[in-house]
Amino acid sequence: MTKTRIIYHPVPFIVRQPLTPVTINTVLPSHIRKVIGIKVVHSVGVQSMTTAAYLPVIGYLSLEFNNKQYHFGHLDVPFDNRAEASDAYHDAAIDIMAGSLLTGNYENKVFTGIEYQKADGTITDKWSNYIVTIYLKALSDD
Amino acid sequence: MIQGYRFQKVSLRISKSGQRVYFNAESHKDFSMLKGIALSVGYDGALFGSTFGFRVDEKKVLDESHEAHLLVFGNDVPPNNRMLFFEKPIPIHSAKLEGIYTDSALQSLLGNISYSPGGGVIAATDVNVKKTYVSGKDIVSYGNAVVDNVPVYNAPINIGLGNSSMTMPSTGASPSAPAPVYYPYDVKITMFLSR
Repeated sequence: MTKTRIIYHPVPFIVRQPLTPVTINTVLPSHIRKVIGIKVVHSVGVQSMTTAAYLPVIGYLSLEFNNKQYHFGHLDVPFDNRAEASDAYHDAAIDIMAGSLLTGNYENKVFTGIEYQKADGTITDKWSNYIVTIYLKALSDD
Repeated sequence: MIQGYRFQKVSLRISKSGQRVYFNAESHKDFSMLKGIALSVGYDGALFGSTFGFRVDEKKVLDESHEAHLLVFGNDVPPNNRMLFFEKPIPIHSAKLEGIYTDSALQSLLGNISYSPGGGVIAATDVNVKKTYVSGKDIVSYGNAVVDNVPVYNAPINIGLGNSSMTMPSTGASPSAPAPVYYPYDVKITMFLSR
């Protein structure tokens, strides 16, 4: 008999251009049975482009579970470099089909001017790739 | 007299950029539940991009790519605000507790050009430099921990300065200089046990 327990599963993705949406398409581990919380955080990179400690929105994330059968919704992704940054999870209750896809799109909303990406599509040295991580608080039976 | 709870601590020292430090310990025999975990890091500049994986009795609780800054308390954040409390406490009976801290693990991925031009999901194998908690051959023993020398940065860049030269770690394609981090610094792991 297997016991269900809570795990924290990160799904990091990298943003390499300011104007190109990032497609998220990954298979969740088969031992994940249910997602009970979701948190999206900026991991590293944006601090190289700003002196601000807090930007309320650096991008929008749309997430779908179970091979696009369940649309979780749209999430604002903040950049929060402050010590008191919130670490709370969005509550969720999503039963996960074994081996199903986590899909979605991320659209960057900051540093989109011509000084970061030229008209020919090349990025300038003012732009820094950055990483955003989706944390899934999940029930696992591994 | 034994109290109803205990904070079991493990200390690690990070000596250089990109270092991975592994520890294992046994939970205190008089306590049966692990209710939470938190870190404190000696230098704030080291927080972003560093990761901490944790498992109990060889069952993963936190992936190796779990960011350390989500677990860290300090002068401005009291421990009970940042400690990760497990909603379902993890049963422990002299359990094997293992952790692996990787300095600057995510910075090294910023310059990775193998992803599609716009970006995309980072494979777990890219973050988890080694998929096992059992360290490799190039191990240096350090106190109660084991230090695993895994190069995180790309090849060094040599900068000619007249007759001398200076070697700097490369941060890949990241155009801006990373925030300075001073080594060594200490990481303390606090585990909240209860009876």
